[in-house]
Amino acid sequence: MQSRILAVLWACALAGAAFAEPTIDEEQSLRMDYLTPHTAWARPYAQGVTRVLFFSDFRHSQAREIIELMERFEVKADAVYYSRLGKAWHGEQAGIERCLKLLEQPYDVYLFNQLPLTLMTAEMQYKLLQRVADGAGLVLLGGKDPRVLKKPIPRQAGDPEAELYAIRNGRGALLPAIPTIDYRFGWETEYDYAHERLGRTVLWAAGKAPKQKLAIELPAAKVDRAALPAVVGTLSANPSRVRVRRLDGTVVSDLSRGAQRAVKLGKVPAGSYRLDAWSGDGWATVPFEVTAARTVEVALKQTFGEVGEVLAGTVALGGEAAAGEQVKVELTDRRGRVLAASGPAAPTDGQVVFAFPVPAHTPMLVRVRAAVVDAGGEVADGEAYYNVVKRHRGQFNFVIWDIPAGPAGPLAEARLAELGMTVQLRGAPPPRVLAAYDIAYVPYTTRILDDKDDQGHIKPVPWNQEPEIDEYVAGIVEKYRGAREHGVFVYSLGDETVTRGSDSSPSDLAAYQAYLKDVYGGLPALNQSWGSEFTKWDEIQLLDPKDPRELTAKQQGNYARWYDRQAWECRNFINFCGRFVEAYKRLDPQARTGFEGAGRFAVGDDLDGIVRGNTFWSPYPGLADYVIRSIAPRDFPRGNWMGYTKDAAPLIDKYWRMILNGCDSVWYWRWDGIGEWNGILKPDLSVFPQIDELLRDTRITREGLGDLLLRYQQADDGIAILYSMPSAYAVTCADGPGYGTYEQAHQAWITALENLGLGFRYVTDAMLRNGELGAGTKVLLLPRAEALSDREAAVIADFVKAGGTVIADVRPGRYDGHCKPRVNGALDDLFSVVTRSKPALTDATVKVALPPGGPAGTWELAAQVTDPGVAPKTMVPLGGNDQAPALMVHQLGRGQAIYLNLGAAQLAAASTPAIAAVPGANTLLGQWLKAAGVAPEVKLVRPLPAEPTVMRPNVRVVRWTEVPNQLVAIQAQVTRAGAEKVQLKLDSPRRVYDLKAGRDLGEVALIEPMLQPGRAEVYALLPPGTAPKVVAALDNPRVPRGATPVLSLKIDGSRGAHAVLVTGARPDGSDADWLRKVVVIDSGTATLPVPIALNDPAGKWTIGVRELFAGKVTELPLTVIGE
Amino acid sequence: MRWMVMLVLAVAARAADDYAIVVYPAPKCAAPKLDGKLDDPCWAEAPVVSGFIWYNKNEAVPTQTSFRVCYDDQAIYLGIWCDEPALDKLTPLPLPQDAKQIFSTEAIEIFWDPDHDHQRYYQFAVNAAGSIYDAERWEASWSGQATAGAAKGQGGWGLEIRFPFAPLKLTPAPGKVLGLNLCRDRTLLKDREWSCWSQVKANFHDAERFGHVVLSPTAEQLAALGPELRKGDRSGPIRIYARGGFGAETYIGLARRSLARVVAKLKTMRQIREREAPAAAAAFDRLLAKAEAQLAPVREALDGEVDGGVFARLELQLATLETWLDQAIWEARLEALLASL
Repeated sequence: MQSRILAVLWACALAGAAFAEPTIDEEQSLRMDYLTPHTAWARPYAQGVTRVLFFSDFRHSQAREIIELMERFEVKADAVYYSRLGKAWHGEQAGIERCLKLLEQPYDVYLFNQLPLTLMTAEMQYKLLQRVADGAGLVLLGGKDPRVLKKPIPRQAGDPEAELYAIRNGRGALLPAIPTIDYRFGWETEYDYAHERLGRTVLWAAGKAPKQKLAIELPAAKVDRAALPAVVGTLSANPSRVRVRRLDGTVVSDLSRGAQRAVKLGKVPAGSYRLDAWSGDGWATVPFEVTAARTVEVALKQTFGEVGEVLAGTVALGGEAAAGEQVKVELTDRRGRVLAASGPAAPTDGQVVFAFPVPAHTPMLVRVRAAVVDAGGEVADGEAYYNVVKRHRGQFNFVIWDIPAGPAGPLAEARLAELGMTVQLRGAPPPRVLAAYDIAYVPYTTRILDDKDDQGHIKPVPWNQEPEIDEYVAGIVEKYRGAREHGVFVYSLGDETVTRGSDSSPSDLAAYQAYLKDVYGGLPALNQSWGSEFTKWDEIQLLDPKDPRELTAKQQGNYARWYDRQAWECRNFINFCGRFVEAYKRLDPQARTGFEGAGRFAVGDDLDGIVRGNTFWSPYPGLADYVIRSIAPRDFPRGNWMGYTKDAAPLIDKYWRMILNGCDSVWYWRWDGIGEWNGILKPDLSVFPQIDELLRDTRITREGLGDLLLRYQQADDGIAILYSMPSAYAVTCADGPGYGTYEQAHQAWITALENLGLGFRYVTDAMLRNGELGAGTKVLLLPRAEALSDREAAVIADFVKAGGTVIADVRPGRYDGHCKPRVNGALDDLFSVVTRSKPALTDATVKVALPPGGPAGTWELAAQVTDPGVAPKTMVPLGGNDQAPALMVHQLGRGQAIYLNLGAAQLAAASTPAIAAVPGANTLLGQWLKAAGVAPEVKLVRPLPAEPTVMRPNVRVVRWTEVPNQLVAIQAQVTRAGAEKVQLKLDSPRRVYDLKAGRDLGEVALIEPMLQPGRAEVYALLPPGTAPKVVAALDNPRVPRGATPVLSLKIDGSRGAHAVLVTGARPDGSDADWLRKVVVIDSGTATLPVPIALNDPAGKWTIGVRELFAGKVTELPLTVIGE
Repeated sequence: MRWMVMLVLAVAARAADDYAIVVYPAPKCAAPKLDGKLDDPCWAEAPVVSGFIWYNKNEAVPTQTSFRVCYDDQAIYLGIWCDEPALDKLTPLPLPQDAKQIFSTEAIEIFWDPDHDHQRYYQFAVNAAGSIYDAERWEASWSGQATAGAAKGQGGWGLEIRFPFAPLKLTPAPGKVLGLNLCRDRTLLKDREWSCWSQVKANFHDAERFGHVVLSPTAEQLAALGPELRKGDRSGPIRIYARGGFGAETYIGLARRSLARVVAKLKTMRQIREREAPAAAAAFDRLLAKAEAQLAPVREALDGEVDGGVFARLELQLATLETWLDQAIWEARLEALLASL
């Protein structure tokens, strides 16, 4: 029950939003909006439509088989899904009732895809079998049912290749399951024949077998190429069409007009072929082989390589040499496009060596195909596959959990790539199909937990027990060599991991002692902190060996000893991650390693250490996201998992939330699934309506905005918030919990800032100590900063003396950096207060006089929690009650220190947006920030609601800058509330573009978006007088096949980074999808190669360039000259 | 002991789920000895509750759990009995405090929401060896200082647990409402079973859907609890496992009423059998015989002593049989059809 629960909790949190969700009917509905390569064997069909009720598991793309059948045959179907995982019919009782209702309708055939009938209730089976007994058909794919298939029927000419049975007045057939074919280019051909057999069987079971019994007689199943041209087959009737197809998908002959009963085949290379023929309503297909005396083998020097390396290898010929033979080598992509070629060249000693450069535009998977040719053409061929390692760093990524399996898996993979997926995650080396679709990989390599053995030692190896722990790590890393050779975005150490850990092993204790030595420097300092009398470091033991977390110390009030152990546990985990970080770097010098779905702000995780100790991190959504975007390098991969629901609005909300939080990737759990939540694809591989809506609403992120944001800097308006790790622990000590939690305080301040339309960034206690507060900081917020070291307190005081503003809420600096209580607060002098320990004062009314410069009046807050243990030294507090001051402002040099003596929950309530016209924390905060020189460049204005006591959802305004341009996003939280019209007032007129609408709003100082819950609106703000215009040109607009003209791109009329989406169309208007590429034009000119294959069609191509801001498309003609 | 069963205070149909709102009035008692034997006098004064359902599905699990609650000035106590038909496979596994491995052993998860605010709640897990995991929500660094005793018994295993009030930040007072849920992680068999007392939605950490304990309530206090129990927009029927409920004779009466219902259904089946084709009649006869065979031990049990726990098991058996009979009619028809093909 522990696993994945956080994820489900997230779904629960979203459950409040009520939107239309797919019903079990809709989830099981079948749509043919995604068509895949197929042969229309009998579609249309003279005998009309065959109605099929299809039963299948919905996982692993198995349910797609019915759509594949419908593409090839005149079949109309309904589907009923079963889950082997859940051991139930989809929808459980409601699903069974739906099935029973369907069984009231007549179907021609009941088709079971690897499901035994016995999974059905007795009532379902009875009603279905009664239909069959009365004359319908039953087809079982993979799995006999001897109760029903009892009376075999001998096969006649034209009957399907299946076990056939009589079932009273109906017919039954048993077929093997549709095979899962190892992925290779052209795999679809073999799959096509599996469906031909299934379709023929379904028609037979329906009593609709073709009236025309077409047969093909082969003179021999194997034909020697030397004997060609020759007749390879004779048909029993005059054909309307004859086709000969190689099993790699190459059609060597396809004749409609002039097709003869005697099928003559010219010289073709050796290989496996099929002869297909149609006549009347019938058709036939038979396999045959063409053999040759020569064989070809391709050996690659290395099966993978980086861009810029050389793809090299040897072609070895076997068998008997042909006269004048030569060898040619081609590199092809999955589309069959010939990207490069060498030869023909005469072999030397039966061998030919080859080498090709690997430019950046090479797809991740290429087939190296070598053929030996003679005067009659190709004699025989061989192939090998080569991986071009691509990691998809430095770009926006759409990451999806898991890889489709099953016979139709590659079709699902193609669909996901088409929808914008760029990275996939799974726990084994990646299958070849990922590279075919240019998908980078996240290997889920382990899962760090701290399960212990009966001695209390972490299993399987304590994290500091060397050399065993390094051997353990190396053993895991070695398993992912295949992933490294594919191209790894990031190496995952698992999800929902622990983020801290320790045990009582000797190695852990020694490492702990070393850590304490590092932290304290000397034993006297430690003894002073802990109140201990150690004389040697190795005297330090756990208070209780059964209590590795030293909770005993906390219970004894020895908070420093307790906190040090918590900090060590966090550090210990980070150190353990570090072993993997280094090990993966040895495997893959460009490796980035970290974990996902773990690490939380609320529990005081070492967020700073996690970022410094790992090279990627994707926690579940939370305040940690703000910290990552503030402190991690921009190229540090980060994201959140989303999914887990069926509603469009929360999905859209979560997606945009990641973008606004500075994530460079969106992680989606998972590609499939129906039930409590939906995956990206329906079982039939169509797209769920809510996913369609999600993808439409967020399209700009995958078509330029996501990449562009990697070049922009999120604006912080000079505001920094301190994440103080020891404070997250200190607030749980003594009477600290009475003031609310650490996370509540931070959330309250963040909400207040976001409602003011202000940006901010986080700094950590480690950054303060390291002097990394950052130039340009005007305001430092200290939410519940109860534990501050002397060094941190000094940095804060210096900041104020230098003119900065510090704003703290209750009890700043009451503990030191190890959570040891201080006699006097570390910031008492800064705030000019005296502090002493007193229990929190609850349920008090506090009055605060609003300072001049804003709305006049008194801010009265009932039921407050305040600290009566603080009193001003000299100044008169600006508010409070007779026992505690509420607000004290101390001017210090050019700066000021503001002490707001209120608990977090009260702050949150006071900063709730648009509750009546009562000036609250927002008003005060706005005034303080204004005084500190912080004013929003984009001011958010929200009209008061009709009912002024109604709480409005939080609205966020996030800005990114890249001088002189800005991007502004505004998003309202998902609630039951409807649309809300707001205003964004700019400090001066700008040239504004609405990115989602692709509209130029002109030079304005006011934008009035209509906010839909969860959906972000995004605007580009450019200086007046600017208007970006794409200047695009090809270095050569008239090229031969095989050339790679270069597209140069420049933005006129605007400065700063811009994004464009480049597309291509073939002469027939079809999409040249390999040309689709986002290009960010940082400055000057960007260039993009436009690779044309050696066998691409000649004619007039069109290159399109869509500029992100204005949405304008520039089109360029490109002429490809044929031979 | 001998108390229980539900008093339906109100049924409203307005919200997204209609999960029952379960309420347990806990008596004040003398502290039990924590040996897992459940033979202390205090348990005789506390209602026994059973009827655990599948996690996230409102159907009783075949392997049941029952429990009792009582409290004194310092702590609140749970006495839990876990039926276990595969008791021979159970080897209690002692674990260190807070080992997450406990969730892979035979364990009971206990969730306390001391203020009934659906926010601040605590999770405990205690396994068949009496080992304990505890956490404030998800944070296992918290310590609830609970102590427990476990013992294997006849056909199951027992647990007695003491939860001191102080770590729960709970001040006991008559009429005080606490959120409580008990969930069982049954891991002995190949397919794990997760069951719980109060039905939850997404997972066990669903504080809004915990059940409730009320400390020594008066009738007036119970009657006034409606709004408190419906916090979080809960709209299902309120079931109070009332102290001073029914005596053993009444349990027998209730079980006999259920038995009569099943017997009536069998009679209906016999009538249907007469209308079926001859091929199906034989199948019907076999099914009827099987049903009668399953009823025999129920009839026998009704001749003995019936307390709340026994009643819950009999009720479950009869309900299972009744459901099976609904299917059996189709099984008989199917058998006949298959024979004719």
